[in-house]
Amino acid sequence: MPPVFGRMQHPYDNALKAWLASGDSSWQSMARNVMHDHRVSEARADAFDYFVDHPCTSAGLNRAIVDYFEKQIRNRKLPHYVYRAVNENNLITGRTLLPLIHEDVKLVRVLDLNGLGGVYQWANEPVRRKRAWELTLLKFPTAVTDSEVARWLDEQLNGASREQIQRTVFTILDILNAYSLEEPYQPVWVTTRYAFEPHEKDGPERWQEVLGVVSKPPRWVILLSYTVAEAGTLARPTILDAGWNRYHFPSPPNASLAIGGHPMDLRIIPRAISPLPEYIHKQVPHKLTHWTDLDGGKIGRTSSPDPTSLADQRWAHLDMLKDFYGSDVLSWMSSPL
Amino acid sequence: MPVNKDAEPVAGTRIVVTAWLAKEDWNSKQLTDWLQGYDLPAFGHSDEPYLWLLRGIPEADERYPAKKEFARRVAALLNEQPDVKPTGKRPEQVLYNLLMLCAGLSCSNELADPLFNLLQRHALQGKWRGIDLRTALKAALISNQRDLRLLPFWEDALRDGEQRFLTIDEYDFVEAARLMPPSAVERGSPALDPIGKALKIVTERWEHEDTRGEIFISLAKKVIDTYPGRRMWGRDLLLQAVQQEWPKWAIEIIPGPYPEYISRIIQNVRNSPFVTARSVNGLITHGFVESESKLPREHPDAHSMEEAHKASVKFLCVGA
Repeated sequence: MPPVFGRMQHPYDNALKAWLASGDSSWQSMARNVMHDHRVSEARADAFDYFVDHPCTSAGLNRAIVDYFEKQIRNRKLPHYVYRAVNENNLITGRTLLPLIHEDVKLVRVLDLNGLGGVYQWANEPVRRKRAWELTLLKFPTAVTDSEVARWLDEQLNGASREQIQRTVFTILDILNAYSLEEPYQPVWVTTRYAFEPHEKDGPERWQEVLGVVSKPPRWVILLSYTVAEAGTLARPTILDAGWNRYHFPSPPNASLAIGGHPMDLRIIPRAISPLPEYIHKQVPHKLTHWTDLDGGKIGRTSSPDPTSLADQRWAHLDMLKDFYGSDVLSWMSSPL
Repeated sequence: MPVNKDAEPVAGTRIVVTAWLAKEDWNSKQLTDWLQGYDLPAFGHSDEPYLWLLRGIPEADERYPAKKEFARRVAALLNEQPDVKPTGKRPEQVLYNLLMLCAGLSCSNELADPLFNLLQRHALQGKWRGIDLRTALKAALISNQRDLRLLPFWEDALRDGEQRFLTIDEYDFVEAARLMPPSAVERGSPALDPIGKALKIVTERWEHEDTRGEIFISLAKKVIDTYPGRRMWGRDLLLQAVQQEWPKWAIEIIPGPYPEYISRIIQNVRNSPFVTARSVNGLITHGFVESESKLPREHPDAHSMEEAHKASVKFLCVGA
């Protein structure tokens, strides 16, 4: 019988069995994540269970994961993961008097500018649009679709001078900051600059790939860097913070808390040899220097889709974890699907 | 329900959507579930569900019929009046995603009427992720216009000083006019009078700003680019300038390309010391007359210049 959150409790047996037997790697991945994510505390599991209808069905468990994410994570000023009462085991800063990791360590966030369509739409409402945003938003599309947002950003950024690009990035960060004052948009996913630096030169596809982010190209992507202190409460993520996301992969029990979780590198040839740290924090205001401090500002446009299958990616990630942490990993999770 | 194997995100969604569109015994519950993020392939929450559904529409020759069928089903859900009878666990999410899906589908045959009915009910309220649901309705209406019927709503909503059901500004009005057909049988053609009015409002609202030229050119160019290859923009925008009494600075920067005889008229306006609308309009009318007389009768634009001449004289007389 499948465990839940690494514990031998079986409230979701029927749903998890159905997902595992579905023959669909997407649902199988979600089953494995629910079964093996030991990072979800008992208190948090109880909080999650409130969203599950019993007896638990396949559809009911899917709904609960989505509902929990919407209610307790995405739309909260203070998302569940910052609370000691339910998530103390994953808190990295603000946990003890002496910090677990140095507060001046630099973090890196990969920000997908195309993914902010709703934020731009919010900023473009006549009651809200600032004069300073007018020129950037002038041609923002009515129908906020992939192709329309891409066309609009291409016009702003493709072939633009360094100054024009800087002005656009500044406006976008200003809009994002204004939005976050009114609307929660959680969580923010980051890694450390130390770990990310070797990949910076590889361009935007790799920036997303190494952090396990799948998005339909083209996307304009920027790198933001700031300190652990600026991020506020930093936490190790769990499946509940990722929501309904098959690209999330729990970290094994013998990984230290300080290193957080591990994003699944989507490139399988060559396969990663060591995992990157992965953390979440709540929204923070971004200054232009968060962008310009990285060699004057890193920006790129993705163009090629990720061609690799999910099953291969998850097997490669488990294989890497086994090589890095030892074969004990397989007694924690014998299969990623 | 699990149906895809190991497909990448877009292909995976496409399999799910295509299977649903092929079902004859469908109901709106599946659509409502998707619109609040249930039962979708597990790709995270960074994009709203409507974006995944739009990505799920097949490409190439299958796209058009699939879009129409999808729009018919979306119309069925709109006809259930989710603005009056809340649907789903997060009714605002359902409504926002439903309306943005309409905007993305842009199928006015199927969606114009149910959206117009929704507008007329005046019941829509609330926000999703901070965005007013009426902003989403506005996007859906603008993208699904079948004729001029919304023009009075846009004009009414644009008036200052009163709280209207829909809040729009000059940019929205240009956008609405840009995509508005002159009538149900003239779809694919620009509605010139609303476009002229919308650009006039832009000139009024930006009259005293340094960036007025940049903004006017950018919006006018967006209008022109909506109908690629259309030859008469120069003449039509000059006529609108006369009819709507655009300021001289805007006429001077009407974006091209346009034929040499239109360039000459605009150049004459630039060189002229006159600034009043009546004088500038006189110059333009004179330019039309001159062009008409110089163009050989067999020139493809000769007839349209004659029309322009007559129309501009008419506007001048009405204004007199």
